[in-house]
Amino acid sequence: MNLVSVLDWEWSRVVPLQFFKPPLWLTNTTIEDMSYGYQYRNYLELFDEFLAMIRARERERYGNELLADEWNKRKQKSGFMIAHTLENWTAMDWFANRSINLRIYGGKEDLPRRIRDFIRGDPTHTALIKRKVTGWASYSAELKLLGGVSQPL
Amino acid sequence: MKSANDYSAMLLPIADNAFARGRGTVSELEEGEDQLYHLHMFRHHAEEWIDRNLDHGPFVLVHGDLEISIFSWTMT
Repeated sequence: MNLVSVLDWEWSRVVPLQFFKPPLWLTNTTIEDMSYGYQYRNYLELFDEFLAMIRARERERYGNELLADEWNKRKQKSGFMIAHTLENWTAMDWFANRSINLRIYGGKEDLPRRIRDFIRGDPTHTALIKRKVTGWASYSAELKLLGGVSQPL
Repeated sequence: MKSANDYSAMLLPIADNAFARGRGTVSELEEGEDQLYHLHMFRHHAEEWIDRNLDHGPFVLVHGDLEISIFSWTMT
């Protein structure tokens, strides 16, 4: 196969180095599932093969291994997923739920207590959530009036 | 914007804002508390991840939507 062109540049932009990440679809795993540490490790196995190709090509064309070294460092601790998630806020809940709970807290056994302490620690948290729930009710009523179907994210 | 730190710092309030103002996303208190806590947890994790030494670059041109369907091939 010969690569002829790369299409659809409408999202192209200049980003800080940490947000320059390799394709996350190498293992054909959804982003939601990549939030699981074991799926990310699975991805890295294939990524390392990809990285070896990049390293060889870089050496051959530019006489250095800048990108390969950079990505080899940035892949640690789900680094590519954090970059992706920061730019896609709806993934934050998945990532925190599936990866950080396990990595930092060893699981979810104490999760209800952590949530309770967090909510109690700042009264504005409860106020915000109450507003969200009230908003949901008025949103649903409005949607029903318009004949739509509610599909909360 | 010339600061990588500013760029990263901007993304977190965008998420907070989207959560706070999004309609029809939280129907029960418990569900909302869970989501808010996990957003908060991610923020802490992300702030540790940000490499402050890269504030002034390098900056990189990215495609932004590099899915497999955007490649055009010929078979040889």
